[in-house]
Amino acid sequence: MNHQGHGLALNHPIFRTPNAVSFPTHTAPRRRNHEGYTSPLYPHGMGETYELVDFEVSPPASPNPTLVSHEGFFTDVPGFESLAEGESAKMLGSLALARQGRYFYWGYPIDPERLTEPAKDTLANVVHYMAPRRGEETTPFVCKTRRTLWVYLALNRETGYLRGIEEHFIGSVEAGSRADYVATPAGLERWLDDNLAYVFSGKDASHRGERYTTIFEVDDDAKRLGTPNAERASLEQWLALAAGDDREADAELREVARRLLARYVHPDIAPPDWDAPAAWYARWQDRIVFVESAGFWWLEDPRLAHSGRR
Amino acid sequence: MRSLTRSWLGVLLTAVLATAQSPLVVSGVPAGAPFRIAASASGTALSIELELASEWHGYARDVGGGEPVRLTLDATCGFAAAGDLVAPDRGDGVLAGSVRLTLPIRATRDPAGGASRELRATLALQVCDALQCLEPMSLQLHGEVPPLSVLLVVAARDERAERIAGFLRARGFAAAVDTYAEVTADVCEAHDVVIADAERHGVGIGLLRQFPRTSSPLIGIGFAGTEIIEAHGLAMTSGYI
Repeated sequence: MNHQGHGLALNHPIFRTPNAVSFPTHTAPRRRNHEGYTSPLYPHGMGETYELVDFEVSPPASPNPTLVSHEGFFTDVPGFESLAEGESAKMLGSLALARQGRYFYWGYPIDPERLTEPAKDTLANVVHYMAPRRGEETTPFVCKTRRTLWVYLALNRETGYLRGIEEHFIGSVEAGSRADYVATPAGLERWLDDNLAYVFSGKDASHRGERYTTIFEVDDDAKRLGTPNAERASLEQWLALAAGDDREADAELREVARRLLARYVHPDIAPPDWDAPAAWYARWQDRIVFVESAGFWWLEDPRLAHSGRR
Repeated sequence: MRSLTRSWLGVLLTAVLATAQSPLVVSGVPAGAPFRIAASASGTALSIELELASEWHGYARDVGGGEPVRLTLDATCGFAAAGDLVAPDRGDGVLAGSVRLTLPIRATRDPAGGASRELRATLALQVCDALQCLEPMSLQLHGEVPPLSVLLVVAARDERAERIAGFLRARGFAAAVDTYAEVTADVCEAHDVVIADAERHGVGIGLLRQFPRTSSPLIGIGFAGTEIIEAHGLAMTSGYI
């Protein structure tokens, strides 16, 4: 990115306390790389124009790095905060300021000779904002999220980029899960429509590679039940099937449901067996979150674990 | 009373050794109150050490007994709560024996603007024994809060590092400078906030990836930030450009 940012979360404390930050803005027409996308800071997409602010006094000699969160790479991490996007040729979701747990990412240089006055105020606020976060826990990073596969299609639409579809996708998906994949933009779109909701990774060595560190797999069990693996309604359906509450459930479906529970409920919070799933859910339902980057698990929200509210 | 005095000394010693907090003045404690109290503050927390005499107790939450303990900051003093009051919870909502109450706090005014660093707060407390509850008390706490300590980690102690440290000091922080080659986890732990800065290619990736793991909040800047945060296993750097 360059020296500018946009989409600032201006109601956030880093722009309000203790310094009330006021950035002069430059209105610019929406760029082609923003069209058709959303992000946490632009949940409904970008309008015809957008407001740019200067963090540095002039463009940097070489680009500043942004965190790539294209439409949700890791936004399911509990408490993750997207606070400003960086101005770049990348699609929406390229973050210049963000926080995860006790870590804050600031994408611009902090040499006061380079910072604008509002950026200096913001940086001071960030120090105040972060200071009470000693020891704050977050979820571990285990694997990339399924949006990686979608990005290959988005990049093709934006720039004509084909290597993602013809090479990277194939390297990133376990062979059995792409048996019917056709390596064209239309083929990838069809595969995503059919499978993306059931993709998972992060469970064992078969999900790790050397060139492609994350190898994805399609969950045939979840797909068979029509239960997207990240949805709470799916978890509740698996629990009902595992308990035998559902009169339609036969023994085979119960086994499928129990496999799914074992696959997606983190061992730290899972019961020794799934003989009493309702009791387990009554205890955990308000404390759990599904986090792809942590290994596609339902796990305890680390913010609750940290506060000791068990 | 003898055992109370002995354990009270222990509480005081622990408080002094474990933190670099500044003591606060506590006023309004009635003569003969069945507890001892000491309070202190850092830039991130207000802490109260309460030592209740045997057979006396207070309440961490409303359990139908006496008034639960409440700690409120004076809205005009330049500090505000940054979270909920943390009190020990032994399951029944009762506070007894040695108790530490902690309130995360945050400055609401920039010290660079000459704002006072005085903190003023009120502790509402009611204590009871098996037969009676004393009248609810309102204790006043006040004192100076020390500045936040910031550790700036840089590639080299050069003019650029000194400019950044100077900026932080001008903003009211107590800033220290260390280098990637020398910084340790203990040094990071001793500061309220760590800022990891480096110009692009200013420090080797190997050093960045060995950056100490610390419970202190860390602000990662630019490329150095992405490398350190990724090495510490956070998802938010799973992709960066």
